[in-house]
Amino acid sequence: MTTHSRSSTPALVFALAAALGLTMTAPRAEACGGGWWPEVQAIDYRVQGIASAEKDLAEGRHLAAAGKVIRMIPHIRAYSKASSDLIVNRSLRVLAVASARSGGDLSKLADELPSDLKESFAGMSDEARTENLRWSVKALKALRKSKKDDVTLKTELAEAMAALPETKAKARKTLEKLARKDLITTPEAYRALGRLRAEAGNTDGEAHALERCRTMARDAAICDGQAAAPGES
Amino acid sequence: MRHLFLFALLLLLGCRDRAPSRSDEAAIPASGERATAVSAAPTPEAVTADEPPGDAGRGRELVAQYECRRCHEGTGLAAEPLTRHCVSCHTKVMAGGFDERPKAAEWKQHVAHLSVVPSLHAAGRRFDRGWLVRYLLEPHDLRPALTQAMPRLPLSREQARDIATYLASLGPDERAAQPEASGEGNPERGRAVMDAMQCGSCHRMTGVKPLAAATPLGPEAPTTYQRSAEEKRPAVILAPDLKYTRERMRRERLVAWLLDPAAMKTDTLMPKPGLTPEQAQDVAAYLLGAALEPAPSPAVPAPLPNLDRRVPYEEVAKAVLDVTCRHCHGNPDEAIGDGGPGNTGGFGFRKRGINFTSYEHAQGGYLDDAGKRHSLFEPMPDGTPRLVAALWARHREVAGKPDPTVRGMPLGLPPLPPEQIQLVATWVAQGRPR
Repeated sequence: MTTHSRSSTPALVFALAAALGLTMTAPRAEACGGGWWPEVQAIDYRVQGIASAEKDLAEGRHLAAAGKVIRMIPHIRAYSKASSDLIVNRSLRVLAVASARSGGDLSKLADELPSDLKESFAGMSDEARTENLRWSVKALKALRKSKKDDVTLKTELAEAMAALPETKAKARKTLEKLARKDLITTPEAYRALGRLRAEAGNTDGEAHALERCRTMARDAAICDGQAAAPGES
Repeated sequence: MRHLFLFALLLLLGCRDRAPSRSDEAAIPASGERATAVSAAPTPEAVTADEPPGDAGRGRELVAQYECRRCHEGTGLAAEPLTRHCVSCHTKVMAGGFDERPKAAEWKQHVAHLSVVPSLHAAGRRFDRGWLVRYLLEPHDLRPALTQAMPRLPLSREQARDIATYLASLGPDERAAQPEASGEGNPERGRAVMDAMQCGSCHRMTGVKPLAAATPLGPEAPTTYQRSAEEKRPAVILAPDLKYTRERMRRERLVAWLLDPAAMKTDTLMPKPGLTPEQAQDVAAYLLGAALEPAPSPAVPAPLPNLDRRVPYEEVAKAVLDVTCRHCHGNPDEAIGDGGPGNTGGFGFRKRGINFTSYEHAQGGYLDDAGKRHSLFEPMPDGTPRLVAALWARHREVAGKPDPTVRGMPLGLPPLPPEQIQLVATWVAQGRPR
């Protein structure tokens, strides 16, 4: 015991000295009330992260987009309403839309999900995938509450709602209204509208919606259900 | 966080150059029409009209509402902080304050024009109130070496009167004693005095023989950034074209100004020329009465036919939307809630909700006065999509033919070249492919 105490004292002194030395030799410091504090320049790397995830989403790489958000904010599903942190809101939107466009299937990201979410969030079962779609709708609705006149969000919410049986009717109503005013903001939403019209037996309307989808889309194949983008297979 | 906001603000603010107005979508030339020459000369009635006095108190409120202090000094209101002050921020960009940013060199090309802005000190006491009202309603290029950037604000005539009255009430300067305007002055002698003083070193006077200068000013360059070092001097940049003097100033104020500019406007860059009262009368006589050659009428270029090849969004964004439009039509989520005057509102403009930061947002339309959303691509009565009509409207505004129904875009900046409008028009005609 005595031996141990003797050997640990110099180590403690050394550690303290090293810590003090590091502080004293910090490259930049600012005086504050007579004391010295190391200047810390906080860089929010989420800015680049969310920009990159948004780009992935826009270019059809839904899983890549979802993966970036989850890696950046692992606890993101804990948000039940819009945050005062705009990056969190942008992340919520990306994940919700990416999940909806993937049919709730995020199983390829399972290894990256927090263990307590792995079962449900990965979308391994039909129930889990439906639950993911419901989460997408809920998240987009929460965002819509704080941005009622954001028509992009409105379009994306309707697109997500179109994937759930219980919200299809409302989705179609919203998308039809937006289409009449030429305010549907994505080809994916036209694809959803096309499917809803087809289910209602409106084949001409379906053809028209899919034509708009093909005109707008970078890759017209997404309008025919072949949504896999490069690197997404 | 502060740096993030500055970066966002830069994205919102620094576009390119020039002045605003409105235009007639019905009068937008159809494809293949010949270029139309229209006169930009102000109507004499508008120039000389005697404006009834406005309400200075309301004028002060309007100066705050229209955020004049984001660009101008001398508003009688406290200056905005750097994060909201266009000129301070642009000056910092030009001085290398953001050189560590990867896009600093690009920003410098876009913001150079707004690093020097005339101050409003004593504007109301120097200038004719009728002219001030008219200029506020229809701003136009006054300074040959300054890229015009005064936006056409959504002002009523009554509001313009109130602002002019407020400006006139600011800081009367006891030193600005205005001498009796005795005699008419001799314009020939006045011109000789101006040449001897080498007024042409800073000023142009369009419509007369070039004024003598120590270093003659070169041909006008299209942007401030491209001008010579001489023409980048603030005194040269701010020197007005003297052909407008007769519209802006009355004789007695002009004589007082010529005798001692700093007595009237303490922060002026105009040196005291050391004129005798008689010489000042002579120079005033020349400035107010010299015969001016009529200026060539600006022409509205003819639209180009749509391109035969596919034009994707990325190309339109790179050539037009990202470099010109998104500065004012930004994404509030990327700029701490401020989407710029063309989105979340500002400079007296109400929220229009136009966002050009992504493909999806560009499809999202605009909010009308009642807060209802409409497509930016809806056809105007002549079939031209609204967005394209606004771009042509800007050409007509610069040519002196504003239209009350469509505000020309880009607001306060030079019109887009026909090739860029052609790109936008083709993209719209092709169904706006991503």
